[in-house]
Amino acid sequence: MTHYDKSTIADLVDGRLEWSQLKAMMSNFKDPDRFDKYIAVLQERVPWDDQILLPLGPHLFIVRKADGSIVTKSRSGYEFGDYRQNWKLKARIRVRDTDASLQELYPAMMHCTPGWMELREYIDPLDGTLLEVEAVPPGYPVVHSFQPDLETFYREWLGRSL
Amino acid sequence: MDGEDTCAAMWNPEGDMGDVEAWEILEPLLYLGRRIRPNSAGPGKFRGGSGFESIRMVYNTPNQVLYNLGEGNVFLGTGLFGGYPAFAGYRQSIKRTDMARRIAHQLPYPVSDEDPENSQMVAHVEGVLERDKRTIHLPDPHAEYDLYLSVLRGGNGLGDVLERDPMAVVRDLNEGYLLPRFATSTYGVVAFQNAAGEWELDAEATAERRAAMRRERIEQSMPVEEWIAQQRARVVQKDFIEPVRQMYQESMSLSPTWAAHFRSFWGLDADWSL
Repeated sequence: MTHYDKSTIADLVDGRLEWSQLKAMMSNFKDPDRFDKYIAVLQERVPWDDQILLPLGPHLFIVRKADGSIVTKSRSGYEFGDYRQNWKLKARIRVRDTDASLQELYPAMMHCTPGWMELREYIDPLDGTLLEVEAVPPGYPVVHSFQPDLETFYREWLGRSL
Repeated sequence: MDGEDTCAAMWNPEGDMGDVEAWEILEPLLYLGRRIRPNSAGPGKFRGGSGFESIRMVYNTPNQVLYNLGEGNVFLGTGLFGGYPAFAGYRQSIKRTDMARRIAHQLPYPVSDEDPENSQMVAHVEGVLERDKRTIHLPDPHAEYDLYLSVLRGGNGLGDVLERDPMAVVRDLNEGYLLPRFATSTYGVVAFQNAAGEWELDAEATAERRAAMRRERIEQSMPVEEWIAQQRARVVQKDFIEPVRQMYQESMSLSPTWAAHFRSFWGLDADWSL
């Protein structure tokens, strides 16, 4: 049975593993307690106590609060509301839709043409972390990237209730 | 870790293109140069893999038809977790060049392009420059000694650029993966060249710049709900360029589900259409 200690999982989270180690992990059977170790590593690194149920990214987590409600919360502590709602709707946004703003990131000719597409930056209101970037045509509804079925995930994948 | 450079799908190994000489046997296109293309990777805490550029010269044939395939006006994909997409393409050829004379007199000729704002290809040959964002087009006739720039795309970035290890940015500068002006404007990394011409990190200035960029993000942004209210006016007025308007119109007619989603997101009547 595959087994990794917690420090290996911490290195995995930090991107510090060598490619050969990563490749071996990817090709092996999944260690059955990986998720719990992974969550434990993440939980140690956030400055708040709410229980992490599922990470949505390096700075975004679905958490259970003391009152039992389940919300999307960022590392900074900002709460985006019920986890079934698109967290982006409660973020801040900056849009790059001009040559000048796009050319802070790309040489001329090497970025999208304003009017055809824009870059939408979704920003954490507390610490200014860039949480997500959308590349979409103007007028495109804000994309709801991922809405997990938490209860099924816990019940059928982890073998316990949420 | 960063994306894999010059990578390709396994069913099409042209990502690394193999040996230049093998391709030159197969087709009347000489390679004048081939190298990693700076800024072809999508920026992020971990940047995408970089693509490469080739400068090809039509040779030993009176005529060669070339075509270009790839996105130009739009990004091909999007980044993950705050990473940015890899660059959007363009096409560039230089026709009716003086390459025959340069070869005969052993004069310098282009071996790279690197930066559209300071094109090394344009700087080292005389001719008629064709450069635009029409990256999908019908076959385009080229004559002997015409030059064609091929730039393979890179991968998208992952994570916030301000969290990228500053030394990784310095390494990208020294190895030609990143044009120097983007170290600060994209990554908030302040670097300087030492007497040997190598880039070195100014750690203190970098920390200051990055803190300022975080503040700027907050100052220059607005709550999404306010922004949606502003954007709604644009949607109601159908204020889009023709290809985007047509895209929405076709998407809504092809998928009633998507049309309902679009109308509901923007608070439009059930019979609203483009």
